[in-house]
Amino acid sequence: MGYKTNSIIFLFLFFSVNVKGQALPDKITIASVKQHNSVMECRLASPSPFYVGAQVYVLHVASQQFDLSLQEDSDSVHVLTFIIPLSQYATLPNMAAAYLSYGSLTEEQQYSVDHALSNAFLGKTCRYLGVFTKPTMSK
Amino acid sequence: MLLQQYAVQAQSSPDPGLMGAYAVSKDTFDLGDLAYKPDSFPNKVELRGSVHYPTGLIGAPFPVIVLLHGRHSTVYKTSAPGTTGLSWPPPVGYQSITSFEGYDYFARTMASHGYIVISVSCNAINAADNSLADRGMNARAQLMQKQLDLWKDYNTIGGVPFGTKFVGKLDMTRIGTMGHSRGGEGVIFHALLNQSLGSPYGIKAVITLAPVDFSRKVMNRIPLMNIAPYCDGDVVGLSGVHFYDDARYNDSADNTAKHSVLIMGANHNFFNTVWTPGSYIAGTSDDADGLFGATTDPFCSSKKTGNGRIDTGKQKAAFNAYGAAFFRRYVGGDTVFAPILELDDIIPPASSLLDTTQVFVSYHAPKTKRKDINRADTTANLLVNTMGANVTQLGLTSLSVCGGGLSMPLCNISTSATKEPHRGSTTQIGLGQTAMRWNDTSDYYQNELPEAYQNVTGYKSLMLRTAVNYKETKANQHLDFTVQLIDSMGKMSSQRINQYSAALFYQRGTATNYLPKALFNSVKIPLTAFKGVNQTKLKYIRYVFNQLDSGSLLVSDMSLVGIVPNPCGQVHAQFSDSIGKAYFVQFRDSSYANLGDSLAWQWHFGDPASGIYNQSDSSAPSHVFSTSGAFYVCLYVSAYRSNGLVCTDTFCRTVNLMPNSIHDPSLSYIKISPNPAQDNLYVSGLSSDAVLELRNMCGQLVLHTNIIQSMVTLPQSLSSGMYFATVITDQGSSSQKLMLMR
Repeated sequence: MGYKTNSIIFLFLFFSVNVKGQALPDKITIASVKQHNSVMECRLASPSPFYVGAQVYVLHVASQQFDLSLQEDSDSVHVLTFIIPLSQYATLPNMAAAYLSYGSLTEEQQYSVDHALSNAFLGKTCRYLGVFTKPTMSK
Repeated sequence: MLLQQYAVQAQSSPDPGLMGAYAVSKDTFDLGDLAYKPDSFPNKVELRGSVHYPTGLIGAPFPVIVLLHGRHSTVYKTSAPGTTGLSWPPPVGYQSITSFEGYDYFARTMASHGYIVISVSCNAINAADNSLADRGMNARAQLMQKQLDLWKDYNTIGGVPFGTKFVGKLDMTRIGTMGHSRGGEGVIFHALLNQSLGSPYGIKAVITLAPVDFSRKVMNRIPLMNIAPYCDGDVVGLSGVHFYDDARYNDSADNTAKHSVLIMGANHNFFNTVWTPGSYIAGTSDDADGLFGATTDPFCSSKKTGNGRIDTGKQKAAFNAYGAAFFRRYVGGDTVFAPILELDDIIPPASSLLDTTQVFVSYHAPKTKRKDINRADTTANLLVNTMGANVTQLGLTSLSVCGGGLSMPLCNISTSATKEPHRGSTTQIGLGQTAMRWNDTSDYYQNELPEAYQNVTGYKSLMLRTAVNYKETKANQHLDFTVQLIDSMGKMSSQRINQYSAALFYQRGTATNYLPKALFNSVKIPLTAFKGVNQTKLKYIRYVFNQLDSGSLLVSDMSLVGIVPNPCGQVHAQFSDSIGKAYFVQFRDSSYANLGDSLAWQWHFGDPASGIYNQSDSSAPSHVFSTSGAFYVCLYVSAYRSNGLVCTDTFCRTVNLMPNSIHDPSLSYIKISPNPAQDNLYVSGLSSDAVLELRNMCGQLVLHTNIIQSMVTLPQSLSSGMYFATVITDQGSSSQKLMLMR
């Protein structure tokens, strides 16, 4: 089931500068986790652009994966917004390690994610985001 | 890489990549950034593109090629082109990135040979497809079909902006489609959509160029060519190999060829000039260097000394030559290019700028031009081949079947799936392959030919697909072995693999988790090369590992190809199934053979956990699977002919069992209505003969009847109540609860 993007796509733009390859930006943060209508939206922000290519971005929190996302911007801030169904959000543990990957994880990356290794070698296509803090539900 | 003298020199195939006789013109069209709303997409999309055609359009109607680009940034800032974005429509101050113009070089080539080539813009879908579970693939399919609708109008009544210019100029019964990257899976979705609509457009050939394959859709009954760039830094798992692998034996009625082209040193982006640094103003990159590093990998890094990358010019030339050969063969009907695609001419066309170590073609011949010796993809094939005869070996230190996914073990070549693109997983089928390892030059692996198939004089060649198991092979050691044919009198004749192909090269690159990659390539040896052996009484085909002291390789798809002699007439294995409760499945043989033949059946349910019950020799066995999941079920049919010959055929496909479900999701398009029902049931979504079964809530079968013209009249003897209705087709079954109100 697709996420309704009509309003978001036409309101937000995502601009990037000097995209060199599909390596993820070095600094990505979890900017917010908020409820939007019937889903939770997890916004990841970076000072540098996210690559646009064939693969799908995947947010890994604990043992769960989320791969429906939108790319947006507000001027120089680059944002990936992941859509998390409320039913899945409810099962997420608080303060679990979170990662972002471009495409599927390699075995080595999967090991790091499975064992919540924040300082592991994650290669160019996976980044540790910090812990995923579940806020009090707010609309 | 191997540099060698091949036993078969280049034939005189024409070069498909050279420009043709027609002068070429190009127009663009733009009906608006928000001109069309696909049903499966939340936003409106553009109807835009380009068309290349023979100048003057003299000689029409021309066959049609439609190109679909992949996912890429959609806009750039006019005043600062280094700033790109992913939005649609382009905001003020920004321009769209014209990815659809990135294949103009190929469009010019095809148009010069008398084709009309349409390239479709797909930016709006790219801007939002990651928010959809199907990644926008259904929308891509609908966009392609909408573009064909548009061009059908241009071809019949004309329209803006072309007026009547193209009226009568397009042959909509001869169409080829090519999709790059996400566009690759998009054209597969489109071909299936067109088929589901009754094929209003004549899709004759489909190319997937460095495609993704998120959904694992399988396209049959249309010739396919997948192109895999070895140094792809974006679709690094080269998932497009599944389009070829999955389609081979999936549809027993499919009689079309499958081709695969591996281009060593090619990356993902350089097939499209708009994505290539130096060729466009914005948003370009070398994806291989982006992933592997510009100076890190010895093969795929473009600035590493001695690397194996091919430059942008070669990469485009390679696609231009092989893409043109494929479309001109299957859309244009130019059989002169068949030798290039079918490995009878392994020397690359000069216009491709490649040599025999840089490009490898695989070929899966149509069913009527191929006799499988040993598909080598199930554990049963370790002892009995696809012809029904014995498989033996001498001295091998290992012989196993692996990589086929589901319950089949991995090949343990790598811990990384990206280094084994063909392999399956616990939830997805992959390429079942026979792994063999030797440590003595007397070791061999042998397939016996049963009497019915011992006269091979009607065939042209012997084929197999193979790859080096680099984990168990000395670094940089290319492999070789001898193929030996032995007749019933014991006479033998031999040929070495490396005389015919460099396919057994030690795979290149060292990038952690990504390289090297075990990729299968075809080897084809003409039977005329085997002198002094009686090919009317051929008893054994033996692989003798006498060229190297040790080695390890992977093999699949051993077959005879050519004009198939047919002592067996019609022997055709197929089955249907009906999924019940608690993982109970009722199978039904629907094989057919010649009048008077007696059949024997051997089933393998792909469920080793069920022990001795994993096999059956019944014509209509039932099986209770040990758990939910996907199971690869095979039916081996032997037809005993009145002339004493025993002929065989095999049909395998995946049966999906959902937890606590009786519904096969792959057939979710089959609908039964109305519900509640009274006297008649209507079944939609059927493409072939089907059967309806009704069971009461106790599981008792109360009705089994053919569905005639999508309708079933329910007998009055059935009383009101709840039933399970199951529609059984040759593709599987679909069930739902049905309320009957009399």
